[in-house]
Amino acid sequence: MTESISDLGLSSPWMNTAGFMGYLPVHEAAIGFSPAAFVTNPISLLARSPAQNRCVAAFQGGFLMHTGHPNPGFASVLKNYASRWRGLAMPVWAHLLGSTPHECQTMVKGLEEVENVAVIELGLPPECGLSRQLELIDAAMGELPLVVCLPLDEVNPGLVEKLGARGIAGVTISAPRGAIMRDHKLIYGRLFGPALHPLMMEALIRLRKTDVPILAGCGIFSIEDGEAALDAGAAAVQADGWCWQF
Amino acid sequence: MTTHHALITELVQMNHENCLRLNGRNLPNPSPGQFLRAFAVGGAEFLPTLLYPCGGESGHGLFCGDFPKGWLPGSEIHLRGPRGNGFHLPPLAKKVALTTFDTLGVNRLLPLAGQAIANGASVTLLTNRSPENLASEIELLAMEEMNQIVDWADYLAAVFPADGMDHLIQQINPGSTRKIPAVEIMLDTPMICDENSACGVCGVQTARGWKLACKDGPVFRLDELV
Repeated sequence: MTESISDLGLSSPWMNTAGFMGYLPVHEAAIGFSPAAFVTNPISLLARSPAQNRCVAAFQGGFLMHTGHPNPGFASVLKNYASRWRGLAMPVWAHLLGSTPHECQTMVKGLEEVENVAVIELGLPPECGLSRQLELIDAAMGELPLVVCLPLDEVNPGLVEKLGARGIAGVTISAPRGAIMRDHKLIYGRLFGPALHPLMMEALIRLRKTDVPILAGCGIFSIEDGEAALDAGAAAVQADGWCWQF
Repeated sequence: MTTHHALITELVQMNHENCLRLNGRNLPNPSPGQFLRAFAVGGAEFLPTLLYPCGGESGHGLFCGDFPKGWLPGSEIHLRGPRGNGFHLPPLAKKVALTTFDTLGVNRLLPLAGQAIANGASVTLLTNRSPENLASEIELLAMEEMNQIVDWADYLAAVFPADGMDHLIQQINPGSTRKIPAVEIMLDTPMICDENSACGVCGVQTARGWKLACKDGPVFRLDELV
């Protein structure tokens, strides 16, 4: 079994959510917390372009965003950033997007050689069945602790326990998917904002009975939100859209 | 990234668009085509408001943008920027054409018009609307006269929605506008993240691959886009 989040000796339970701080932490962040780790933007083995139907739309209590997770690809990210990750004062959590076991394994093996990468955080493809999820997770298990992102609308104690039995270090409750109407057209994407906080808290409490460390990875838009999540049993909290405010 | 503080001192209706007059110490001074990101102090918005310069003197800038209804005189706002690649008016350009193809307000082009006039250029705005707050030196021409402009202008600047690129290509007819030595397009698109995050929402496909409007734009040369 790999290390648990609790064993990682994080100096604080705060960090950013993948996709909200690029591949290097900002020097002068207006965020209201001192992060204990830096979570990278999503990295896929091959380069990804922005989604054709990329969009962002505000709603009461948050915003919907769909980008397609564009990134220059694993080799390019490592070439441009690995040496700079080594020099960071905080550990790096590399967030990976793997569609196949081969992709996951290749990226994980590559990251095991990069100094200061402390954790792999794995994003799973949408609408991915359980057997596929387990294949990807098994492929991503290596020398580095593995945290798995599960969207708020998919996370449940049974699933978390199954993943825990695989030896993962933690589960991040991540932004759920949703749809809103704009200009008479439905647009789809992930949801971010304080409106998710009560749903995230309820999920946290439901998942408390599992033995898997749970990270609150959505609905955190203030110190109070984060502290509430920690009081409710979260092992750590991640801030997403809040990182962009000033 | 420095955060600047400003006070909204006035709402100004200009060319059928609400604009803000801001007052603040060391107010950022974006060049035409650049933008500022703004949040109201104590505001309820989760995404930044983008503000574009449209006139005013340094320290008392006039800005346009899709700002919240609750932003009123007396509201305090936080600003970051300027960001992005703005317009590059060729210093020797003497015949400058401007347009939004009537898709968006013209105010974002006014500082560029001012620069051109200061350089001694003739400036023409192509529009079928009736803007009321233009410098007297700016000549108005109907959109249907675009063909005339192609033969006349040595610089064309346009503002256009990024999600209407196919329509832009029809409007601007790259074959004929190639006669104009310099053509720049400011793409109107959401730009929500900070400089570092590269979220990709503002992705623009160019001749050299994908670019980010917030960083590589929002002003692009026409030959980069088609």
